[in-house]
Amino acid sequence: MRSHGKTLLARGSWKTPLIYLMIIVVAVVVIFPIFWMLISSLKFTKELFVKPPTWIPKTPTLSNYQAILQNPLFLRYLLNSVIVALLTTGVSIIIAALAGYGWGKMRFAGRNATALFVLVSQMLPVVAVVIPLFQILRKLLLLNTYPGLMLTYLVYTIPLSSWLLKGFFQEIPEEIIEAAKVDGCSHLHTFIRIALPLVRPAVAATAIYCFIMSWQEFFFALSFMYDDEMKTLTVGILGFMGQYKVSWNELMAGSFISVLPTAIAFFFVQKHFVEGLTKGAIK
Amino acid sequence: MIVQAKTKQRYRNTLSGYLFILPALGVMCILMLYPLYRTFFMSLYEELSAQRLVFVGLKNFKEVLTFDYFPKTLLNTVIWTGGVVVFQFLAGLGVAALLNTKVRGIGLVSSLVLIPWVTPGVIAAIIWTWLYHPLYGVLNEILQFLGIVESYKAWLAEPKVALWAIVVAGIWKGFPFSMIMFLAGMKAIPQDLYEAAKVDGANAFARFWYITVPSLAPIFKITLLLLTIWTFNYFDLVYAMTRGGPGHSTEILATLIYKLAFDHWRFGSASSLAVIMFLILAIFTSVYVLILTRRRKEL
Repeated sequence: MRSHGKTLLARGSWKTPLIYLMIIVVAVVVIFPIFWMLISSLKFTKELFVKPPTWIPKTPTLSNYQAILQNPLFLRYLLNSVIVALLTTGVSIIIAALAGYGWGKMRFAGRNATALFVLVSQMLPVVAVVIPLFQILRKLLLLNTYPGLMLTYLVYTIPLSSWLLKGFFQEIPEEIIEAAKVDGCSHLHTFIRIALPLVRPAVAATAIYCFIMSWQEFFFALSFMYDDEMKTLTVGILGFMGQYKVSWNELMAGSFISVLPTAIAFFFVQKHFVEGLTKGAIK
Repeated sequence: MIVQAKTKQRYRNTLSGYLFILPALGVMCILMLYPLYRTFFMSLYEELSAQRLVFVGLKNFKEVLTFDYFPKTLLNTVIWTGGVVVFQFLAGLGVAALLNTKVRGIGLVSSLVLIPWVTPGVIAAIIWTWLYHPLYGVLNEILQFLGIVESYKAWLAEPKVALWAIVVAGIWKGFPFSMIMFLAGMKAIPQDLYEAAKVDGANAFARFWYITVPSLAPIFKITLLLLTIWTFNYFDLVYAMTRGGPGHSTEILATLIYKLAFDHWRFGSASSLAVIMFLILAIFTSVYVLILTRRRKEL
């Protein structure tokens, strides 16, 4: 892709400082809520409730992080989120890689139709299926369990991750697959031994996408995990809000801890992911 | 013999192809398509216990349609969806245009403005609730300093402004998606077009309006559709910030369905509302797609 983005910018004219100014304003406005979360998490309770608020903590402290990380419920929520997210990621990747290879590299009737069906079905409102899903999980005794929540999360992860992987499998030259077949490899063997190693970076990026999706999920977790012991981070931390036991500065520390893993993960795969996301739309 | 072998080979290919996609296909059928059918089914029933269903016809629909806050909920859903989609779109376009310049440090800024998008919805809700805090919210301080408000306001507790306060948080949370899409589209526009326009004396605005906008039209269309579907279904922010309150002043269809189902355990009524929500979305999407495809034929 050629990009010489100078559309709004005349070379070295008076406009350059103006552009800089506008970019800085936008960046400040967008980042401010995150900045304020961080600032508030570093304040003692006394300073937090000063009017007008102080912009930089006078006596910065990590005590809020200490407090929230010693809260047994918070740790439990954190653990639950990690388990569900890892479980979802693992299962999603296996299913999505199989499907991605099937759609990307195999010839069969109904290939495009089934791929399109899976992509479109993701647009169905999850609010409209939450009650039957609850009934299904109840029947299978999977409410308040990790595998139960993981199953419902597949609805979010499978469509986009299988489409992402489909795109990457398609880029593998046909000769490599043909050569494997001539050597007498079965489809499954070709997939595991030849194709999968070739798309390893894409699999990693897709895995991170699945992890982010399940980490930030709230609606299904709220509906299917109602035991306090089994709540995930998003549901649990919302329960802290408005409680007197957990103050706003601890809540901000907890929020920062919740944003951190996905933010870091995202920046590792940002390029991959943005490419995969926009490739379809632009062609 | 050869023909027979070929047919057999094709048959085997189809079979193994389906074996590969079966898990993905199965998951979406069992966890999305079948439940959707069950929602339609449940909307005609009332659940007395986990084992006992009673057929009640259209009673559930009649009930939810005559809630005195139903029109309000519908209006709120339109305001929520419309407000968030329009302003996310405009913000995304503006920021993308700004970031499509080649100045130093642009890479860092492009990464930073994606942060809201990777922030979980609930965390965004908690942060914004703190920003809006009636006594210690920094937003009150800033707005007072700028002379926009005279005194601190309880943004999320005032029925008239609460929904718009959530809309603002929603715009912040989701605009980077439009930005990513538009920025990628802008980078794919051939630079010669701009050079030629410049030679013809077109200023920056004219170039943006006559080259950038038409080139992005296909991306605009798909982005608008996706944003509308996602926002219409989006539950996290409204629920986490106000739970539809105060009263029902920020109630949207998604929060009402959840509350009916899991606060009041009225699965039948909640399902009928879910059916209504699904139909609204289905009609909107069909009309949208129909208009777009027809216009393409005319051209």
